[in-house]
Amino acid sequence: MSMLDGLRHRLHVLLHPHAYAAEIDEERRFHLDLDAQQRASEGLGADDSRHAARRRFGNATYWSEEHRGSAGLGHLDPLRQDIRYAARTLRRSPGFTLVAVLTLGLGIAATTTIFSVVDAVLLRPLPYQHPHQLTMLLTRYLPESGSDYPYFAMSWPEYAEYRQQSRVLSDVGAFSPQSAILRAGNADAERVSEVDVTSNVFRLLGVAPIVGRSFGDDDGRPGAPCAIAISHALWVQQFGGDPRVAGRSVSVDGAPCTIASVMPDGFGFPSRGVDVWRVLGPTIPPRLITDRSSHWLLAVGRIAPHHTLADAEAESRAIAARWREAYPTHHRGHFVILSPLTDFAAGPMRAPLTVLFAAVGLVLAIVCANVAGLLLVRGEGRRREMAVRASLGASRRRLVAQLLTENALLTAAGGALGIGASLWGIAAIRAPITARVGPTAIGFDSTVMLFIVSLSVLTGLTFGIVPALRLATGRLEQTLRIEGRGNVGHARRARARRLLIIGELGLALTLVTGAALLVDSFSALRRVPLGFDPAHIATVRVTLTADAAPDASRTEAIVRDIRAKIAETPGVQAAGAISSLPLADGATGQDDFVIEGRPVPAPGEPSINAGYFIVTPGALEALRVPLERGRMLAESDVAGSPLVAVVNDAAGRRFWPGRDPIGQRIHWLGADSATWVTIVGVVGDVRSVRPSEPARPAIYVPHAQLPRPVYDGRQMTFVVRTASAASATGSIVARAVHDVAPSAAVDRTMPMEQVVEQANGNSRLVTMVMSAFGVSALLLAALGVYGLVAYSARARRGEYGVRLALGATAADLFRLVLREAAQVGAAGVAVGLIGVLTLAGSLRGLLYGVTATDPWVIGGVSFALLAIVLVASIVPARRAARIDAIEALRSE
Amino acid sequence: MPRARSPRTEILPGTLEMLILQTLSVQPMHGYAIAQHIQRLSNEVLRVEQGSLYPALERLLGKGLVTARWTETPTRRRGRYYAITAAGRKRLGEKISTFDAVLEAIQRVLERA
Repeated sequence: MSMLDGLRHRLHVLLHPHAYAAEIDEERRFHLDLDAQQRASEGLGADDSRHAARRRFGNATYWSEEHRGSAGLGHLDPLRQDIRYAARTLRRSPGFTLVAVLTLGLGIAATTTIFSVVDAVLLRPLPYQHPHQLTMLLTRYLPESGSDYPYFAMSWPEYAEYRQQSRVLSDVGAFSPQSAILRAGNADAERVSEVDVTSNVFRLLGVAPIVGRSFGDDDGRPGAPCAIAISHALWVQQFGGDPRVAGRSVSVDGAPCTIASVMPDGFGFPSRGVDVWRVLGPTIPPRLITDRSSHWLLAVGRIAPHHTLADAEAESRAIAARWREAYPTHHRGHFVILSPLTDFAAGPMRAPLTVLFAAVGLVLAIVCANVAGLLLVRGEGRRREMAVRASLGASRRRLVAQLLTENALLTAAGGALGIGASLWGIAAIRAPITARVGPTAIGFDSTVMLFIVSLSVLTGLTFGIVPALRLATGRLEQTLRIEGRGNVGHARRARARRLLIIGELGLALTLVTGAALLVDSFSALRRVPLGFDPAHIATVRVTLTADAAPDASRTEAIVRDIRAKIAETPGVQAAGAISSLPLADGATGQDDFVIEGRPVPAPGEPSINAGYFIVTPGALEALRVPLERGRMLAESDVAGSPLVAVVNDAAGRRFWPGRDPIGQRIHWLGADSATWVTIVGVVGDVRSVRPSEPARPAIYVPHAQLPRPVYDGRQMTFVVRTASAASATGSIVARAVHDVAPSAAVDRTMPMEQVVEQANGNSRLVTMVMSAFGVSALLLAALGVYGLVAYSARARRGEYGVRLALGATAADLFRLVLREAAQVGAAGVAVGLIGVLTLAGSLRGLLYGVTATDPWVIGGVSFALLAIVLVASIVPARRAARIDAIEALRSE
Repeated sequence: MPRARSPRTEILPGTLEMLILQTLSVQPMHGYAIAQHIQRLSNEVLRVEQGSLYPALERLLGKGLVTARWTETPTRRRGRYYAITAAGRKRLGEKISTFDAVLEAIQRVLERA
């Protein structure tokens, strides 16, 4: 009970300090009055008694402080005082405060923005159980295998055998990403991102559906009815979150499927944004189950408890050895490797993001160095104020507390600004990142909030500690006595600032060099000859449903009709369809084939294979891929006519070196019938995977002569070249498609130039951001140098005066200041070069056509930095040169 | 400048609180009256400086052993009257027993010496 009363009292004092202080004052006056009355009644005069009472009362201020102190009012007062005082001093030097808060805020905001991306893309755990036990299984092709692709999918027999033979992996599941056309009831056909998965995949991942049942082994048997699982987003969007959705039938690619379950919110496999998972098994063409050379599956495995990734890798090598023995031809230089799922998920953004995060850290370090330097200068100017306060009774602890309060205010202001600016930054960066990585949860959440608060505190401590300590340990009394020539310790302080600036310059050099290398690399990329002309081309991806196009001839007819309709449109110069778009999709597939007149590769020899594309006449012409020899595919190349194909230069050089490929014949290994395909033309190389990678051998096969059951030809991208802008053409194509095949899904409408930009995408984003950082670093460094030189010149006026008196000229002084600045600049560059050479390796993966230690770039940046240092020093140098000797000496 | 020390009292700190509580156990009073009461009953031996009185009263308030209220005095002025609480009475009893024990111990030491 007593505790409550006591607490209530203390709370009251805490919440109403002024009112309580007034109460105490009134109580004191009351006491004084009574005492005076008492004395008066004892015989003293009114005034005398008052004075006597007051004398008894002692030093009013002192005792009232004691009273307040015991009431608990004491604790808050110094703090509140400090804060008010700090705010006032900061307000009195608006220039400093503005610069400090602005640079702090922007530095913190930039770091937080990059962190939010790193967190969402790299750090956030995958929505599976124990994700670190999960690993991807991929095919690795060494050069001796004859494949151009170092990493590729697996085949079904390889997957099944690995699953059966592995002891370290408790289970292995396979999947094949696609896209499909979903139609629910009478709703419009919608194209969704779909993944075919084996029935054990969800169990393997350890994720259970929130509605409905998990896939069972029965669902994967051949002939079983089609079962799908849908994503949470799709459930809400298409079915309104109806819990009775399980068991409903929808049409997927024209075939009826039953919805078996709904997956939890936030779940995605293999990445976010997948809407439908269909059980793999019932629909696999039987040929693919036995064909070892058709690689179309990705696999994921879970490492059994008490085993490590190293164990799994050792096992995969053992399995690879076994396979090499059993299938020497097929498995020459070709085996399965493992890659932790966590690495895989981040994909191509991992390296750029790491670099950006390091870079922004450098920027923040430069900001801290700048603010620390500013504080040091400010500290100099306030030595007098501090000394006076000390002589008035402030303890050293109070003075340091005062300084720390100021720093805390600056940090708080900078942090607040940082929060605001980072909200904007995060919103701005979400779109470009999502375009590259897929849907991500980038946002200002609790993790980011925690980060920004910790970062602000850390930043505040970093730049604040040094000046505060310096003041706390200095000798304040000396300052008052030796006023003007207060150069005791001046050299030490100047050295501290100089070291800070050298550090800043070093960091700036490292950062700017990195940015310059990336800019160089980016422009080299843009100059790469792609092999086709992307201007004025519209691309539209079209997918036909299975019921509208049940077989090859129907599919071919529909595609032909669409082409005819497009050709009718005025302004169209050339149009065609291609199975996968260069730079967007890569080759459609990769298959082994046999060359006529050459023996089938014996066991132990590399196999012959190449990437292939399925095209209609007009596609290569629309892309303006040059015809080197022979002829392009024509309308006459249809089913029933002799099978033909066109190869590119790289294929010609690889498979028929020194000879003309035209007239040569090949046939696909594993094709249903051993029909020979005649090469009728050679076209120029097209970079199809990435602008930075040289073109690979490719074979172009007519759509009308579809020999490959693996590719059913229902999904084609139409490429249309017009005289006018590409953007308008997209809708024309969409209309043509709709007229001919209303059930078809149309998506990914993009001008070809945009496809190229996106293929260069990461580079552009990284380059722009790094350039922004580089420019900021240069500006900050220039500011820092200017501040240092200006302050140093001003502090040494006396010395300059003496020099002038001893015969130096204004020009001499000018050169003196500049020379000092140059020394600082040179030292900074030297430090920076160490940084550059140390960190050069980490950039290598991102550069194209430029080495990480390119001497021209490094030299150029160093030179530019030195120039900036000198330019920043010109004004202070000139001011120093104009010093009047007598003035300078007198001001001592 | 020398750092300020806590206010000096002419009697042991805990004792003052005990005396105040004892005074208030009779009837509620304001600060001045408490000081006068103690002074009078001790035949002017114990003088309570206001520099010790009010801090002690604040401490008692903070511990919930007394409460304070602004009331009209007999002379129609506003005074802050302190009253002992039930917890205060209990504490008073404990303090008195402790004090007795300490006093006895001191006396024994002095007699021995």
